[in-house]
Amino acid sequence: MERQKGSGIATFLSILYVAAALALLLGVCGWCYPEFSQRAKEVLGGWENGQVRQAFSTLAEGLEAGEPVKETLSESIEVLLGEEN
Amino acid sequence: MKKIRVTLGFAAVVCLLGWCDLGLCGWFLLALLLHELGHLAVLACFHRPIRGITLGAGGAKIETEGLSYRQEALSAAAGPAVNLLSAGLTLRTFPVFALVSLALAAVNLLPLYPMDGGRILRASLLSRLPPERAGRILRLCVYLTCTTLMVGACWLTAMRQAGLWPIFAALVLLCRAGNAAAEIC
Repeated sequence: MERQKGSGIATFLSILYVAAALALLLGVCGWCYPEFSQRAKEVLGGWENGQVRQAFSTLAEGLEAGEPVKETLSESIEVLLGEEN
Repeated sequence: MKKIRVTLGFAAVVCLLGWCDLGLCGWFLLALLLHELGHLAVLACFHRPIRGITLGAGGAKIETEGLSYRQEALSAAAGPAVNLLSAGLTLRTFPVFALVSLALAAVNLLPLYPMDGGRILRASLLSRLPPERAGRILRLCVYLTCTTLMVGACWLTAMRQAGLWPIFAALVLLCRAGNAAAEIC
């Protein structure tokens, strides 16, 4: 039990590290390309108006319904980027 | 230290960068020198013998021996730490150098073994967990990082017309991570 808990914490901290490293890279890209930075802010800002949550639910619903993974992922990314029709 | 080897790949990368922008190439070499000096300084503090340095297309490889997990994590973290520090110090005076340093630190901190970030994560996990559990977590991190990088690269290429370079850069990282995945633990 103790070992599993330790492993869970290590996994969580490792994923946190992955997120921090990718955020740093994103920050450098944003500095080089301000237009990219603006778009990233818009996408991340989507969390507030439910765009990210909506993308996750599209993904979950598609996978549960047994739709092809490629199409489901494509739909979820479209929702995330606000490019749905 | 016995010898410093320079591979053709490193020479090609420097020539290509110099051909694109000579000034940028100079700043890159300075940032790389500081990065490697950071690693060497920590290794010297631990009194570890350095058998040689190989400068390759994917970065420099310092050959040493007998490092504990803690020493490995600290020596791996020293290079990017020096880059982050130098970027912070030169942000106002030399913004191009600051950006190059920051980019070098950001790429090296990606959790892809044998890059510095991967070595920090690997040493930290192996010092606390059994090898098979540490290996599983490391593979998950490699998978997450590579997937995110590839999705980002495809998005830049397809949606922002950024050319093929983001996909090429992500593929290079992917290949390095794939080759190293087998020897993680």
